[in-house]
Amino acid sequence: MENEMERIKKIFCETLGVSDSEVNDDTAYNSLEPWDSLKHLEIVSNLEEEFNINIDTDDVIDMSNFKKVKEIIKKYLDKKGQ
Amino acid sequence: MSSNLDKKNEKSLFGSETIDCTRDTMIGVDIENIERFVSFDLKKNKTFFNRVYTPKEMEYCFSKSNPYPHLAVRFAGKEAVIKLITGFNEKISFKEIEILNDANGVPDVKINNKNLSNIKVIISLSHCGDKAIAFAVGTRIDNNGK
Repeated sequence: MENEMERIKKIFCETLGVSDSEVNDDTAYNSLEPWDSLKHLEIVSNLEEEFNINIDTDDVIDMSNFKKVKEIIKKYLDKKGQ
Repeated sequence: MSSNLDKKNEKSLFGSETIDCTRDTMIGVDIENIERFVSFDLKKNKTFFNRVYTPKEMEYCFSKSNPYPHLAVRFAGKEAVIKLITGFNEKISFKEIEILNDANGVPDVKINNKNLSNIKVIISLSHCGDKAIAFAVGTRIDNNGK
């Protein structure tokens, strides 16, 4: 799971074009400058491709900070692993 | 648009009073930088395109010699619609919104969500230079179509 969390952060940071050190659990949508609605959908799409999952609209909306991004992706990965 | 407001507020459109949008009318607006869409590749960003645009929208946009203003303005249009739908305390995804031009070239919004069938949306799109902008108005109608 730790490796998967690292992958999530890598995708997240690469999509936004920011360094690892600029992102923590409190990093919130629209608070980190590149993270707007267009980038949000890019992040979601890149995470879907990386982990071969399909994220529901409610969860896309719920990804309001990086902590929630990780929690939601973990939920899908756990479900996949069942 | 004035037909969607209370009669008492109609004069407000040209007067000094503040327009009081009722709970039955919501608006949304969005502006995007077209250049941000130039980097998207149909194959490399297939998941993104499939999440945001319908097949008919992609067919329309990529039929143009420069598809990016059309992609950008449709994205802005969907954002504007999402904002007004959120104003009604409802949720909608990008792909449930389809924006295509009618026979007269006027953009028309189709909402593909049965839970939102009582919300009618009209939209206006524009792009110039590096900017694309959209403005949408949504009206909740009752079961009698009023």
